[in-house]
Amino acid sequence: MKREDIFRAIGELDSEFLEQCEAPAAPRRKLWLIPLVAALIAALCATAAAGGLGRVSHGEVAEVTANNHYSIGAYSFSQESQELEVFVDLQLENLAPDYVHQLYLPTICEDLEVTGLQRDGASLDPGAEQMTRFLISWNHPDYKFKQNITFEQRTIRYWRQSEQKDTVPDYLPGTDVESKMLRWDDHEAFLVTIGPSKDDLSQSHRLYWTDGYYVFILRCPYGIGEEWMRAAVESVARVDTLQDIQKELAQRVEEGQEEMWEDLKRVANSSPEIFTKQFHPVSGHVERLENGMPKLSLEPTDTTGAPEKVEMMIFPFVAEEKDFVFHSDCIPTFVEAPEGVTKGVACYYSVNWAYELGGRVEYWQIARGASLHYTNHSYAPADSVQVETVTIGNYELLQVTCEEDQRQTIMGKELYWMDDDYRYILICPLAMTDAEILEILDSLDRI
Amino acid sequence: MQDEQILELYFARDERAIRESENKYGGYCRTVAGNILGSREDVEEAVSDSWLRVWNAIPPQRPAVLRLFFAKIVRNCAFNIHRSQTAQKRGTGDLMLALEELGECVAPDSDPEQTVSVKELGADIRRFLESVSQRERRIFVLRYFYVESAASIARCCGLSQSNVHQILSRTRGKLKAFLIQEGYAL
Repeated sequence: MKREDIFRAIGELDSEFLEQCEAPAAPRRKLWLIPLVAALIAALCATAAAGGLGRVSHGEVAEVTANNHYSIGAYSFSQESQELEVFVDLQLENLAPDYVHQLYLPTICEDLEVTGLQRDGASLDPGAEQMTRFLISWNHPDYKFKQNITFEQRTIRYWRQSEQKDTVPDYLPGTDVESKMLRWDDHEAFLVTIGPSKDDLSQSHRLYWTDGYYVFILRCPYGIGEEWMRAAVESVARVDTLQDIQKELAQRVEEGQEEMWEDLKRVANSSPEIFTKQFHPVSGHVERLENGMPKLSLEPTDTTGAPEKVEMMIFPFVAEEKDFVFHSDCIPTFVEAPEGVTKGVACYYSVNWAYELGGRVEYWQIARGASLHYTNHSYAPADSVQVETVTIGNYELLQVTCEEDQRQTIMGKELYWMDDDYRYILICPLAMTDAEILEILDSLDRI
Repeated sequence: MQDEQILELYFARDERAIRESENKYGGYCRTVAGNILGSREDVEEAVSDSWLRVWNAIPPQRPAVLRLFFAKIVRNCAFNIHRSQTAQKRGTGDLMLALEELGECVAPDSDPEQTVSVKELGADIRRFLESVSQRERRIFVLRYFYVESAASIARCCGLSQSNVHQILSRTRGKLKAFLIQEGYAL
């Protein structure tokens, strides 16, 4: 007998027995991170591709950032600890924001656990809440997602890097973990629901699936339904080259800009009263920024009681495009069309100094339903930012005051409010009086 | 497409069966073959051969687990290709290592010409595997059926590599004792 005989004989094991051999122990509740990962991967091995693991150890990441620019970085897997991490060193292009809110998911990794995006400035104050916008545009040299799916994650408590880190969204001792298999016509996925725990009341899903070669992990908020998950699973498709992805993205961005540009011109041409209702009589013009996005600049002709110069961004939205991205020179932000609103105009004001920051502007945002999300304040140390609720006239506003930034050159405050249809942000000089602010607020009658 | 639908295509002698098999399990089969073979061309050859063999095997066979049925066939095809290339030493390191490890179950002075029924030996190995723990069974299959590396198995099972090596070594020792007990002239 030869060793090859044994090897061949092992190949004669029947399929059902092999399947039993692959089967892991049943997933348990209240698992710690490492055994859970092992169980998950074991489950995946049982359900899909035991032979498919372990292919990628490093490579490129192409991300589509919030404003449809993409960036490419490298990732590598650190195996120093049992919890393997993905480090993303993003090298952003000029047109992209220099801050990326989230490592977009799903992430292709094998039997790895993504424990977080390691990046300076990615932490928040204790108790602060993070608003995460997932733009499902993770790309890989071998894969792409056929569609971008944007949604907001429920809030997560997130601690500063310098302090305790075990509350970074991950498993905590005592965290409830439930799991089940989801099966659709052509796909199946392993769904893990995490939380709540005594320290973190939030819940989230992790969806694991494989195409027989890679294991995919998608983190998604608790509110996401199975149909959405199915769409995410089905949206992944192999592609030939990364260049194909980039080409397609560039084309999509271009098309999107053209569409927005046309819409903006339509609004500007058809609704001139929109502009004059905002502040005072203004003159303005629409121009295309270097990054290709439309911008409306307004110059008040009567500056009494108004900031010396105002730039106002107006953009239309339609219901099919729930999230609209709009741009100033350096400010990417979003406005979400409220439910039931099929078309309209949302406005963004900023005095001109806000555009001179030259870097990212993070923002508070009041989402419909009164959930509050905080992203980051890059131009001010956290302890120089005060947040309070103020009442001006009949308006209840959230006021964020930034007394000084790290360069001690910027002072200002931001006011946030909403009516039934829109959310508003006003960035104004610190010295602006309540009367001046009220005038602005009153000018924003429903369009 | 569901496995059952793919099977029906085979039974209907519809050539879409191969296309659908390729769509659903092509990547998986390439992984299995890739663990055994060193070059992409060889892997493609093994997978192509496999589809032909699957086409000839179904019907009459109706596999209970289509994926593993494919895996078995592609594994055999890959191994055949490997054997034909042994002189050129083109097999992957993992396969050579796996074979060397299995060689521990065979005494150096055993008669290589001894005729062994692979099917019978397979049935005995199955009985052996049923006698060991689930973890040992799983690691054994990953290593000697899928020819996964120890590192890959370690990641997959949440173990250290040295732990995997220990478990494999222990299981091989048990297998050797079992085969001797079953009357194999090792």
